[in-house]
Amino acid sequence: MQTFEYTIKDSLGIHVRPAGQLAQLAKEKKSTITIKLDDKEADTTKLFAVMALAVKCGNTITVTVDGEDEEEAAAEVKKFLEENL
Amino acid sequence: MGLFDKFKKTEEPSAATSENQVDKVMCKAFAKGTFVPLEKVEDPVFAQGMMGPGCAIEPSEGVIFAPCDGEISFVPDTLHAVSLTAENGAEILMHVGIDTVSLKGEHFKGYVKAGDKVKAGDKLIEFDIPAIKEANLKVTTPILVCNFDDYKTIEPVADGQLEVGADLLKVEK
Repeated sequence: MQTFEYTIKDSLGIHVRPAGQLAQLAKEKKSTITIKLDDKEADTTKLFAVMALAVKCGNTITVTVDGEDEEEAAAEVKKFLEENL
Repeated sequence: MGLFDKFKKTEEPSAATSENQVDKVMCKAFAKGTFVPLEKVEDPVFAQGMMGPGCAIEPSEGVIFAPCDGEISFVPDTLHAVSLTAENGAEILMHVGIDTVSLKGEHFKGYVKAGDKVKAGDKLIEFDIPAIKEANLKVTTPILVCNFDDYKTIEPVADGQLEVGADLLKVEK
C-alpha cells in the first residue's frame, strides 16, 4: 500500500473536470485509489463521491493506492495532482 | 409451454411495475435549445466520454431544469454544474459551458443544494448566456451519466430544436 499527502493548490479546489479525469485515470489502474479528507473518504473512480468531499484550495488530502500496480499508479496520481490541482 | 412458463409470464409484469424497483429513466431536455451530440462538445474531456456517456444541449435560454425526479448530489460553489441521483441510481451531471469554472460563480444563480429532492422540470440553475459569451466562453451544456458501468443503455433519443421536457437521454439498467 502506498500513501501520500497532497495539498490542493488550485484556487477552485477539486472541481468536476479534474475529478472526472482522475476517475478515468483510476479506472485504468488495477489498484484501488482513495482520497481522504478529514474523516471522509472516497474511491477516486466514483466522481460523485469525490465531489461530495468538497475539497477546497489549501486542504490536505491523503491518497491511498492499494493493489498490484500501486507504485506506478501512485506516481501517476501524484503527477496528475501536481499538474492539475 | 408448461405450467412453469405460465407462472413466469404472470409474475413478470408485477415485478416490472413494482414501485421500489426503477430500472429505466428517461432524462428530459433540461434546457431549451439545440441538441448537440457529445462528441461535438468542444472539450475533449467531455467529447471523449471521460466523464461518462451522454449528450449536450446548446441552450438558447439560461435556465437548467431537473431532467428527471431525483435527489441533488452536489452543487459546486461555482454553480456552473449540478448533479442529481435519479430513481434508478444513475448519477447524472449537467455541466454548464466549457471552462466556466473560471467564472467562480459569476453570472450563475443556484436554486438547489445537496440533498434536495427534485421533480423533473424543477428549476436548478440560472445563468446569463450573453455575459458568459462576453467572457469568451461557450455555454454548451453536457448531461452525463457518471456511474455508467452500472447501466446497459445510455442513449440519446433527441435531435434538432428542443423544448424543456422533451425526451432526451434514455438510461436503463
